[in-house]
Amino acid sequence: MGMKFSVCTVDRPLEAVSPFPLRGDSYEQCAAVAETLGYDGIELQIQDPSKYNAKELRASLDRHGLGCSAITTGLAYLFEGMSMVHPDNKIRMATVERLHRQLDLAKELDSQILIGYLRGRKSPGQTDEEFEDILTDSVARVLEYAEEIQTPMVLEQINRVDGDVFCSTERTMSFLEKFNSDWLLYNGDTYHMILEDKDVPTAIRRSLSKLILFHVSDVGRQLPDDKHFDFHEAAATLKEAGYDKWVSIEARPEPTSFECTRRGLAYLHRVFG
Amino acid sequence: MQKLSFGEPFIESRYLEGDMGFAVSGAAMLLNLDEERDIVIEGEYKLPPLQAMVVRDAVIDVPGKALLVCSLGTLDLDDLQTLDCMRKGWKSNYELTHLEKHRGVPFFKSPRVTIGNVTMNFCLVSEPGCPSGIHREHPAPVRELHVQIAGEAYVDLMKSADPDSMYASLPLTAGITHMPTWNADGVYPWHRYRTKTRSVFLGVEIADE
Repeated sequence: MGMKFSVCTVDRPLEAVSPFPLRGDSYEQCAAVAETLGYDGIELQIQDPSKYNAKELRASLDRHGLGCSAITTGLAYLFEGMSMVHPDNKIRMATVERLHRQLDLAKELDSQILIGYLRGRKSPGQTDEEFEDILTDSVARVLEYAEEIQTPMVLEQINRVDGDVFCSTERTMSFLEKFNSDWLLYNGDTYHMILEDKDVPTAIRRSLSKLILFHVSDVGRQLPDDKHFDFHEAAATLKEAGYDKWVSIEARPEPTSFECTRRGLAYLHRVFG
Repeated sequence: MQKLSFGEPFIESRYLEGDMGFAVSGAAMLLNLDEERDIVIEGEYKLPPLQAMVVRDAVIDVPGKALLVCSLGTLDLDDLQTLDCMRKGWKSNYELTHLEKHRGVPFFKSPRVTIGNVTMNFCLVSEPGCPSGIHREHPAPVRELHVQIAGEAYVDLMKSADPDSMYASLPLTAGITHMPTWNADGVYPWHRYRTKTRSVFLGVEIADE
């Protein structure tokens, strides 16, 4: 069995700078288009899971024969200022609680939650160790619930421009491994790897024990164009390892949402298929 | 400026209200939704109320309300996969009404958006030479416009509900709309929308404030 191909979707109007190719007025609509194009699944951007009916979402995905590669959580950071490392303990705990509800939704969809931006940024003057300590506490609180309901939580590496401390694959994997849990997994992302991992095939191999989702995204969050990064080498590394989980297109919706979504899948088939 | 999602993933659109000096990037259809005030393009050309035009890399002053449909010309209605996705992503007339007369009619509608007194949706007509039903009444008093987004079409005017009574045809090409068809009392002639080629149009209904 080969890799499963997915696309990042969003059901609200966001500017093109957000790297979610498939836009729609609802996830039902996104699913209809993704199915018609031939995707295996879609990735949902969910700010607040209480605004969604999990069973209806599940029925919609089933109707279109799609899986859900992840419930992505970053909109709560962008629009509500939530953060797993927020200096205000009340906001931090509200973020943990929000992630519990995201896990509930992910369980209904047989999926996992993806934490990128929602882990938050370092406060001014904060050391890496202090940042890690606070994040460790929040991750442990979410992970406890993830283990209880047996639904994975996935952390993304984020490059040093957009994130702190856990920028490279090695640093992120070391952090995840200290929890010693099968329910805490890893999202590799070529956009961040290009900037942080000197040897991408080695980084991919390093992550394989926890890799459940692989984002394909070129420099500037563009669709791959084979001019900046060797996606063929990354794909070969995944194939060689027998990786058979999600590979998802995360790119700006250019020239249009539809064209980006269509070209993204064609590229995945050509290079990762 | 408000980004709208009702045409996504096929058509990107933005609503403007009181936006002076807004920079349009690339080619876009600009529709003046205001019933009184002109839009000024590059400080010199005036787009009258309820009219549309194509602008490209231009600065516009919108004292009233406007809709901007971006990336004009990117929708390829001769591409069968595009058509398939639009037909699956939007609802057919039959799915929306369950009226027997709509079964098999190749009209597919995007979700509707309402902003103030303006309601809009996009409509794909996936067959050439395909007319809508002839009508002169609307569910509520509205000013109705058809703005062509892709392909070519007409708004036909008739003396009666009989298609043979057609006395005028208002041609539509991508990026423009027709002159108002209602009179001072808000009464319409019998009319219909008819495609020449596969088309996408924006249906606009403006209610009384």
